[in-house]
Amino acid sequence: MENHPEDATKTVEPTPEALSEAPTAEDGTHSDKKGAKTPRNKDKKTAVPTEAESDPVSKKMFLYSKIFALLAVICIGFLTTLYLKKRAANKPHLAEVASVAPTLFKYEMEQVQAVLHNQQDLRVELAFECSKKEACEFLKDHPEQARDILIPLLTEVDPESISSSDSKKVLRQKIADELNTLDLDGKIVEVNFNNLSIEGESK
Amino acid sequence: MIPLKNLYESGEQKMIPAVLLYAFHEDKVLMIHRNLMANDFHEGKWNGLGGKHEAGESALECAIREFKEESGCSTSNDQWKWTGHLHFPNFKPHKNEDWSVTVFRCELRKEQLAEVMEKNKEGTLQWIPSSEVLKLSLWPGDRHFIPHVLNKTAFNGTFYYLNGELNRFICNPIFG
Repeated sequence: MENHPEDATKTVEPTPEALSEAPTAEDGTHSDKKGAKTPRNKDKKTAVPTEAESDPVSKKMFLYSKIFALLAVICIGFLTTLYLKKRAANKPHLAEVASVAPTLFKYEMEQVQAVLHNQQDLRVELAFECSKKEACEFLKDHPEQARDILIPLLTEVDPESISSSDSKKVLRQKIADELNTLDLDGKIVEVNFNNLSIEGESK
Repeated sequence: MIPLKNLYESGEQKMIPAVLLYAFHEDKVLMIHRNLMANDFHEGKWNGLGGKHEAGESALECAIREFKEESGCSTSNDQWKWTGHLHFPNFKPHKNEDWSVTVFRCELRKEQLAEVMEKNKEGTLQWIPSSEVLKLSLWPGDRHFIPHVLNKTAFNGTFYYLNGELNRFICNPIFG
C-alpha cells in the first residue's frame, strides 16, 4: 500500500495493542508493516495517554487518593506532636518533683476525747503529716504534750457548726498551728480527721 | 546511839496540810491545766483542784472553800467523800516543805455545772473524760493514785520527788 499524499498529514492513532506489537527502532521511529518509518510523538496530539489519564473518573479518584494521603500524613504528624508534648508535660524534671511533692511522714494518733461546753463528748482520730520524721516521732513519743494542746482546742468546738467543711478546715489549721508551737524538729504540714463524732446529751 | 532530831519540831522542815479535789459529773472529771501563772511550780501540769488549809480549818471545810474559790461552784458537805491520803516528803525542797494532802471526790449535780468557771488565775478548767485523764501531762506520781480516785477505791500513798522527778513511791488501796 502506497502512502497517499493526503495521508501524510493525517494522524493515525494506533491502538495500544498495535503499539505494543510494533517493533521500535533505536532512532525513535517505528516502521509500518512494509518497513516505512514514521516519526513518533513528534506532536503532543500524538501522545499516548494512560488508562487512568484517559478515564476522567479514575483521574478524579487518583487525585482524591493523593489528597487523602497528604491529609493523613499531616494528621499523623499533628497527633504525634501533640502526644510528645503531652508526654513531656507529664514527666517533669526530678528537681521539680521534689519541690512540688516533698516526702511527708505520717502519724495517726490514738483517739482524743474532749468534753464540749454543753457537756457533749467530742471524739476525734487525728492523722498528721509531718515534714520530718522527727516531728511525727515527737508526737508519738509525747502524746500527753499533744493532748495538752488538743483538749482545750477541741473543747471550744461549736457542735452546731463543726459539721461544715469550712469549720473543719479552720479547726485542722488551728490544730496544726498550735502543735507547731511544740519543740518539733520539722513541722506538721497537714492535719486530717480520720473520724470525728459528737455524742451525748447537750446540757 | 545518835539522838534523832525531829525536823518538824525544830522548824527546819514544814508540813503543809492541803486538799486535792476531784469533781465528777457522770464519767467526766474537772481538771485544771496550770498554764496561766508565771513561774508556777505546777506549770504545764494537769491537776485536780485544791489548795492549802487555812489555819484552824478542817479538811472538809478546806475542800468546800477551795473548790468555790477555784471553780466558782458552791458545794455542800454531803457531796464530798474522803477518798485517800497522800504524803509528799520534801515536795518543795527550796522551801523545806512536806505536803500532807487529803483527797476528796464529789459528784456535781447538773444544775451546778453552769457555775463552773472556764478558768481561774492559775489555769484553765476542763472537763476531761475519765478515760482520758491518765493521758494528760500529770505529775508522775498522780498516775499511780488517780486510778484509785476513778475507781472510788480508798488509798494511801507516799511519793518522794527529787528535782521534779518521782524518785520512789508507795501507794496502796485501803481495804475494809
